[in-house]
Amino acid sequence: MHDAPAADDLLLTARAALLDELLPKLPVESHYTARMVAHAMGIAAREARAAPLPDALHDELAALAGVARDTPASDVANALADRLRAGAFDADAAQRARLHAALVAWTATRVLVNDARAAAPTAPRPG
Amino acid sequence: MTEPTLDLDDQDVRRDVAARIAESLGAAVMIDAWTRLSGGAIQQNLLLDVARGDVRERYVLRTDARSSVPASRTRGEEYALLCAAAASGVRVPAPVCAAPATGTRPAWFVMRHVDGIAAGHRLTRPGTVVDPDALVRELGANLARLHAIDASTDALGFLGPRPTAPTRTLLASYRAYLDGWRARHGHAWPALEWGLHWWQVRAPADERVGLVHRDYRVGNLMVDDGRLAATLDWEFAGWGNPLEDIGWFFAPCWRFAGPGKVAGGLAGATPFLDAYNAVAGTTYTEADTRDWQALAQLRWAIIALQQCERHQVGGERSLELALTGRLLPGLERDLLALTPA
Repeated sequence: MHDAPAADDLLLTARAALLDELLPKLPVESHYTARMVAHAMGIAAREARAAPLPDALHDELAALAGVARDTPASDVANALADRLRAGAFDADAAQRARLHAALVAWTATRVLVNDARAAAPTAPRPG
Repeated sequence: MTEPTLDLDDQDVRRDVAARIAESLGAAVMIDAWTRLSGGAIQQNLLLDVARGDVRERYVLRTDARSSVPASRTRGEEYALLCAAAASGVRVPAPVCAAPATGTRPAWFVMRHVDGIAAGHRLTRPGTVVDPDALVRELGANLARLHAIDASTDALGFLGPRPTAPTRTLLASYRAYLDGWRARHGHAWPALEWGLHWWQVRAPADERVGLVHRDYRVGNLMVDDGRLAATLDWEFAGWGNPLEDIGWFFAPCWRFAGPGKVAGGLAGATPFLDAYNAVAGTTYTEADTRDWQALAQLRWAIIALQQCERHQVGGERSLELALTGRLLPGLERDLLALTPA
């Protein structure tokens, strides 16, 4: 069990207090820093609530990397880099397209956490 | 790397600066006020209010801050680049005078102050610039004049001999950096490796090479009343393929509030390239710049990782540097979009 409210709720509630209550009272020269703080809290909150990489995508990346499905993500990344540098995808357009699609999908999941504009609205999640 | 800093409370320093400005202008001057401008970690900028008889003028003094980045140009080199640019018709703050480093003082130089806005988010907000097409035409023609600078003169000898394949050299440096990251942090960056490999199989062995600015983008271009006032931040200039600068200017990562507008978030590619081509005698199209936009995404991703490491392990704890590391996914997304399978 976890204590309540959850980390993402705490962060988003604190972020709202910063933006709604504190920011209007801060001198203009501090607004940039305050907005950076809010941005950092938003990223941390989205990361705290983010779903793990879908199994199907992890398995696809592992297959393209030529490693077992239970290989940790950092080792999958390293194996992919090694295969790319070795030219393993150069001669096979279909495999290259598969890799590109998998990298696009993987990157999209990380963009959702890190890019406020791409992410869902950062209101606290009820419950 | 820690360098001596310029002690602006030292009356000898102030007298020396005033004397060199006076010598350059051929007239006696009085410096009434020295105001610190927001500077970077690398440079320190001061606004000088100068009286020349009854005329009041503003100048900017640039010197090194406490920590300097080995890869960036020295102040003396930056001054030489400004002089060469001014002589070639590139819009820059007019260079006035310079002093070399001594054992106890860093090099510094003085240029004319230029009014305007450089902030990328403001400039790319609809309505800030009344005629964005006209502005990007100026920016294109200005970049073409920059690329026409003769970089083989003695004054620019610090650039070294003209290389034949500078893009391959860049790619090798990115690869080495990614190796270092993996050794330090235990993981690779597959999307960056994709972009690196994509470029490595295409990089020319021989290419058009000239002086490139390497940070020509909205944010480093002073705009006053919708017109280009000055090209700033020359510290990364060196030999390169001119398309590298165009790709950097066009890349998604430098479009700020105008993501759909290829020319720096301000306008479409056509007015920029038409003006560039007319001056340079080239026939570049937007399609010719796509690979170079991808290279720009890769380069900015590498720089963002370097900034992130300055925060994580470099002893410069900073929220801004930390958040730069979190730009990576967006940079990778746009890199992948520009490098299809």
